[in-house]
Amino acid sequence: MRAAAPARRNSGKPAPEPPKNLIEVVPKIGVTDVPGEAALRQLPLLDIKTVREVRISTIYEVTGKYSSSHINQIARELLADPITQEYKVERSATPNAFLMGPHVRVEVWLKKTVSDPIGESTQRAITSLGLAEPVRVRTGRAFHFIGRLSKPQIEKLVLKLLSNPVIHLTKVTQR
Amino acid sequence: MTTATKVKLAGNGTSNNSAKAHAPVWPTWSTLSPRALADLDAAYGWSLDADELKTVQAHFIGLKREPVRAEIETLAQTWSEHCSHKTFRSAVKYKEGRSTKRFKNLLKETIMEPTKKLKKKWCLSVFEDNAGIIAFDKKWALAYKVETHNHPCAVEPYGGAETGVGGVIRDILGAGLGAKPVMNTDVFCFCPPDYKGYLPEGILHPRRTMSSVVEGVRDYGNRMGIPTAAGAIWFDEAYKMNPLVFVGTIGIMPRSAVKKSIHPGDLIVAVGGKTGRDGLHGATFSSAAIDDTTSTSAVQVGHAIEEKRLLDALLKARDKNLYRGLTDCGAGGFSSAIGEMASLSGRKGGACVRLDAAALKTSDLSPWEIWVSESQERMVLAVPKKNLRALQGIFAGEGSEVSVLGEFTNTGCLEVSFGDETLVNLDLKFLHDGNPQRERNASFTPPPKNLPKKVKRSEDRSKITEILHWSLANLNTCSREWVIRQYDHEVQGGTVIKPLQGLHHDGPGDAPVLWPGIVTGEVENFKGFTVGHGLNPSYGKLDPYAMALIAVDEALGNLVCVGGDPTKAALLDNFCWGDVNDPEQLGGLVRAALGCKDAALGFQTPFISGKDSLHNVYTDAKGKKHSIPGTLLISAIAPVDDIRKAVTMDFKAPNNPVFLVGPTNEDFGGSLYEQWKGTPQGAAPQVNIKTAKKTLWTLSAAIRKGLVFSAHNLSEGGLAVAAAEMAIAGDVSIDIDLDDVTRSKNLLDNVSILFTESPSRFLVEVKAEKEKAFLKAMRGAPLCRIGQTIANPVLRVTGLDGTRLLEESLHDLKKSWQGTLPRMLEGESNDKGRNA
Repeated sequence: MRAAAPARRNSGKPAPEPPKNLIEVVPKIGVTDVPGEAALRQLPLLDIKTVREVRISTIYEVTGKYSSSHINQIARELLADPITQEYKVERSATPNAFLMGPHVRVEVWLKKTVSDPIGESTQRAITSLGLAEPVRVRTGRAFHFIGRLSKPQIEKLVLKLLSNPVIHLTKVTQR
Repeated sequence: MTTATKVKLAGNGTSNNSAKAHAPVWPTWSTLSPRALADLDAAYGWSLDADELKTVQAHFIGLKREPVRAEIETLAQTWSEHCSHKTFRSAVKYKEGRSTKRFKNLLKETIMEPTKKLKKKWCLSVFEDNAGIIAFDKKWALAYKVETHNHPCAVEPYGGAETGVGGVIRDILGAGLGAKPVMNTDVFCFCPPDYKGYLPEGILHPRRTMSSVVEGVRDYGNRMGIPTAAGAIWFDEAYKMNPLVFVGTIGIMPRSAVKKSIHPGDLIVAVGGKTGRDGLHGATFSSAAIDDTTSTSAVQVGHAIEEKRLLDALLKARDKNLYRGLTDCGAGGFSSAIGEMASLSGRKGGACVRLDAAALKTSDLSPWEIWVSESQERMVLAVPKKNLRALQGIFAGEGSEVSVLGEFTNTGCLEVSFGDETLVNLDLKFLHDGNPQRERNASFTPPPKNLPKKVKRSEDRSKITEILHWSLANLNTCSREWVIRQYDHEVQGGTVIKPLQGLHHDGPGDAPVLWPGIVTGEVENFKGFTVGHGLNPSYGKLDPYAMALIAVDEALGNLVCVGGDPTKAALLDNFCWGDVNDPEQLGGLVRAALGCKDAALGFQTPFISGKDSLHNVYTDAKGKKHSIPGTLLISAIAPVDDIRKAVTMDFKAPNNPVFLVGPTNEDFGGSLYEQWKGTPQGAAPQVNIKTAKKTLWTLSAAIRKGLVFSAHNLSEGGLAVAAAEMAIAGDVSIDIDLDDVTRSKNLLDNVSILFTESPSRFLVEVKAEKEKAFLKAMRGAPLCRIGQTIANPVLRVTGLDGTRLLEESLHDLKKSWQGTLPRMLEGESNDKGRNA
């Protein structure tokens, strides 16, 4: 990416962005979700006592042209631990819910202006698998709260526990 | 500079059409009024004051040209509080009572003076490099640096803490020709995590701040494979808007790598991470007070793995002598790093920089942004041309970037260009010495000498058990296990004495002892070192001078307890202060600095490095300023001649005599008892340096002779808390007879003797058969035998009248001591004493 600034000045329209692939990695059902349990313990401190369980997954947004077998290879060989974790792959959309039943899903992403070290390392690692280098890899986390939550409670959760608006973007879905 | 360039640069020096619309149009500087200059400063976020803006304007009028944005950015970064310590180095007129004292350069005449006077041969590099460097033995040297990262941690605690650790590690890599980091330290000041009061919007809750800061320190240190083994935490509600985060690193290097040099013609080589837009204006941000609208562009996230690659490649290159000098890119990015190195090149100094070659994270950076970006994990090397290829090979092997940015010159100028644009053409002399010096006013009102009307502590005799439980559970004394257990303090395999000590590895150690044999490869060499801290802002509220003496005394005392050699100890200072534009606040700072000077001269221990973070102020919506309490952290480092003789603080076996070493006086100002009682209890304790030195030096000799089983420094909570901690840690208790305590005449009751916080005191367990030898070794130092260790797991104290004053189970005491932090940070469910 050396001295790219003047080069870009000369070119006309930027090339269209390659497709985004979303890979979501979760602990298998039955495996202890340690960060999830830690998050659950924090809830009573925020006066939220109606949540039974918290499960946390990691989302990788890999921007680049890959066949579905390559994306599956990345997920299987690089990102998910075959014994304790499972993964889902989607293209340019949020993956379907892992969980049955009603729950709140909060996705937390780093803002585009904040550098993403895990994403940068993943980018290198994908190249090490022998695949083409992705344009970009961004990482995020999805928190699943199983139990009853009101809108203000969700807002409180997002602001006081899950994200810092200075560096994070969040997306809440209720199922 | 040609007219054509000027015209081009009038558009902000922006080389592309990226979204820079928010920046105002670059005006003609020479015609601006002071008011317009100030508005401009606010719009661009430089944090330059009116005098500085005027000086810059006059400089460019003298040159008969207009400044360019990158030049102003460079000046703003270099003159920032963070990079130049302009307050601490300025002239100060200090008023105390009726006397007035003038300092030409506060730093030189206080902190640095003892070092100059003491002329210790083992001080190899002091106050000139990125870290202080002392001799370890004939072949090796230790570099130690402690920094603060307060403002970033207030805005984004996790990223702030991470980048703070990353920055101080790079300081050690950039000390001399680079040292291998062998230990990290961390000291925090937070608002209590169970705070329930008002917090303005956008301010994170203290619980969140604390747990995120700890996570940040943990993740960076653990991922880089550096043990985090020493630290301290202080809680006070005054830190709710401005948490303090001090991070430190100790490195070891061959003595041949202590000095750096730069020759004109050497290449300027940037290594490590790529440059992005992260952390723009971090240096100037740190000079600004936090308010409701604090800018957030200064926030960064750390990348420990990137820095680990940089570390590995750099040390390989150092051992092959491939570069002559280096420094890290901290605040101000390339502008500060290259500007600083340029002044070392040849007689006049100088550098010619071409930014086109910089490796970038994103392609839409303006040249000035590349120049001042504070992207992490980058360093700048001065490389002789012939070594470039070999250097590139080593860095490629570790997957770390190398880019050649130009060369050092001897023109006396800092010249920076991008393509055919000249970005900066500044005289180095103006850059480094041009900032206007003005005398600042400081005043200090001495604390009233008269004590409050006699407080009757004897009334609390029946509440001794309650006070002890309360003291052990107090946030400032309770177990730090919740924090310490998150850190890897064992990696590198050299942590001989660990942060948590005792039978169950959960007692509060005074200091860790580290053996660097694995790093140096000299496994037959049993020399190690230890690091201790002293910090107690509650004394500072009463008298900053007393706080400084106590902090030095406590830091040295901690070293002595584990077997460190105080005659070869070196000190580091870190001042965190509030609004120093307020003469009263600056007065406190001056007084603390005077305390540091007297302590260093008295104990004959030099300061080798230091750092200050000023303007820790919060301005509320009504415009009222809230300064933090003046906070001084003293870090001390000393060699341990034989790590096999190092001592921990837990009682080892029953039936051993226990001695209280040091003088016991009436010292309740700023004490835990004062907090419990809720009424003022007098002035801050005064350290009698002569007695303290005698006590420390004698005890240290006795410990190093192997006469002592366990030793613990008395601090918050006095004798009662120290005895309880030693007993809890060892599962061996103590029977104390208060009548045996040698004390000053005004200490008349049991409560006072148990809870007074007189400085320079130690509780020492001596091997029964070596009692005589110990007494002989301790001749001349104040001490008294106050009881003996017992197998029964109850803490026993007999009062002055011979009756049993306290009999409390260690299990219950431990429960109080361990429960606080887990309860506050993880909720009620974890409120259990463990291992008790």
